[in-house]
Amino acid sequence: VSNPTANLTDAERAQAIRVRADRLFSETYARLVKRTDRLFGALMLGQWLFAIILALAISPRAWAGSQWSAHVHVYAAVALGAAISSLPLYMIATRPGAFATRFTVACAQMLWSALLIHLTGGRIETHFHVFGSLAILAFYRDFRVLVPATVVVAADHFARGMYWPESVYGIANPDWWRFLEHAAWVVFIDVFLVLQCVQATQDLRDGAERHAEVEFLSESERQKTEALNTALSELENSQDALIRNERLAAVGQLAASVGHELRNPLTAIRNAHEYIGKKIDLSASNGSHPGGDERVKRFRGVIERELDACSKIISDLLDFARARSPVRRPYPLRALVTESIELVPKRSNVTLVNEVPEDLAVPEVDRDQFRQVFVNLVQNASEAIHEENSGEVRIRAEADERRFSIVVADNGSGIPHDVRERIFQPLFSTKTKGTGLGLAIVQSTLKRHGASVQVDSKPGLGTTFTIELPRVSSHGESQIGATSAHPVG
Amino acid sequence: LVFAVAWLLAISGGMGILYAHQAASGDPAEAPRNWPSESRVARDPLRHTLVMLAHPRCPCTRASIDELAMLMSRLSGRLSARVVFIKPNASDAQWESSSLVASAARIPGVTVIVDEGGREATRFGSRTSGQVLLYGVGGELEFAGGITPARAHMGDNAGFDRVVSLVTRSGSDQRASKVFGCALFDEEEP
Repeated sequence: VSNPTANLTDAERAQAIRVRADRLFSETYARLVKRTDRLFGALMLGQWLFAIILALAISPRAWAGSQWSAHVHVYAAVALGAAISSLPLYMIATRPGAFATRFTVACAQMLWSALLIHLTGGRIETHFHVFGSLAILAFYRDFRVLVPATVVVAADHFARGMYWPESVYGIANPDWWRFLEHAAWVVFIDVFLVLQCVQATQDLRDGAERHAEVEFLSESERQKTEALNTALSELENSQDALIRNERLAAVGQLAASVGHELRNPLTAIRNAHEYIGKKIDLSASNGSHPGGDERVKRFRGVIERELDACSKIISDLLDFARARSPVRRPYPLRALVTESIELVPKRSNVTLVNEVPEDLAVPEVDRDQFRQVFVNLVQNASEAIHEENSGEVRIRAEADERRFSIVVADNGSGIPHDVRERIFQPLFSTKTKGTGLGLAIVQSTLKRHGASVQVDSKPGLGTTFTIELPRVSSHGESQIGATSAHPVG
Repeated sequence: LVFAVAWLLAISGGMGILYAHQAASGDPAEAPRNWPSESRVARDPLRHTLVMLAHPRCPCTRASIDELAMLMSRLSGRLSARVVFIKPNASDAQWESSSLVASAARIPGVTVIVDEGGREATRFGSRTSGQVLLYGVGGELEFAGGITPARAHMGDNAGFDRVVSLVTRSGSDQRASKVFGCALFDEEEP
């Protein structure tokens, strides 16, 4: 497993952390600015609503004797308030996070201060709105927004002092610089807010750098852990495979030995049984008693059947243990399937159908081994159909320039998912009388032919085994991979 | 940028209109130089008497009443005040039941008077709510004007300072100031 961070020099590592920290800072700052934009969006709407309520509560009507009309404050709250909030709301909706947006927000917020001060009759308490707004603008952590805010406040006082001095200062001819008195206090607050913005931004950057370093260390540790886990997993798999191979090798040797040792006594038993059988038949033809006894006939049948079963088990064990290299000769596949079907025990409820085309190209296979493959697959398929159901097993095949594709499909009970993974393991069987070697022999035989087998099964609908057999070149080598001839187990 | 500038100009224009309205004073009083003898408002023969003509529903006059409260606090014991709330002939029975009247009545040294048909306002020649007239101990008019810096706004203002100086004899020479408030009479009335 490669570790891209493992081979970096200290300088490269520092540079990587710096780049990551810059990106984290930018992302965090963008989120912060957009969040503050949304805050001001809500504030713009809230202030507008508040101003309308304020105007309706304090100064809803202007009077002339007994006649009244709506007070100019109501118009100002509705129309001027809407105008003040409109552009920042538009900017927040269309360009969240942009500097122009917070610039507009800063101007609008200070205009709101001016309007609210006016609507409340110039009360000194409402002037706190100016300083509160500056503090909220500092949420942006961008001291530049304080500049337009301060300019708007100063310009408002300058204009009022210039054109309506009595409304601000209570005297008709104030000194021109009086507006600076008010602006100076705003600047006083600005100084500290600027310091706060700079410090908060630096804190944000420091946090991003720490985050990047932790990420870097975490990634490095994660990659090391991943590599270690992979190595451990591979080691465990290797150990499992080794143990399995050793066990199979031991079973194979034992099977070969037992099979070999049992074959001779079994042959003797079979010969003795045949002799006794002939004698009994002869006696029966002479009218003696034992041959006519129905129980004797039945027991002779049992002995023959069980002898055949023992021969089959020994044959399977020896086939699996010996793992003979295939001797490949051209042999028609349809004929081979027909021979195999004839060797499979017949079941009244199962139809075996050979659908291999007669004109199919002729493969080069070890006839005996491949017949064993078909016998095992077709017999398994036949036995997968319950006695109370009728079913069929179809064998079909096709060929292209590179391979033969042979399918053995049944409509039996199917293979449960948890069983499917183990069906090719030697000595695994779900049958009461199975050796658990049938499909293991199929797989090992096909491997020796350079072929593969896939199984697809739907419980309750049936199972399909698909063999992919590469066509053999004139030099006797398969076109897809070399022929494997190593013994299994 | 063009939109932003246009927006800023539009807002500035709106604020300008608002400020102009705020700074627009009402019609000044043509007050008699001496206390009108036919007036039913009682003059204090021992100290200065301040008469404020007010509209009980005028929101702008809230600032005048608040300033009067400060004035009375500052000139405690040296000034008598009468707030004359006009009651037009066509008004309903609840006309003078306003928070403004209640606020004026709570100010120490202030007497609240309901002016049926605006007769007293006419006698004192006043046409704008918040109009203040200051008469001396001898009944001569010493000051006529308002005691707020702008319409509906509190704060430092020349009228307030003048009343204080006249009562305390501290020497301000301003004899008049602008008055801010609703009209006391209907548009068609003289």
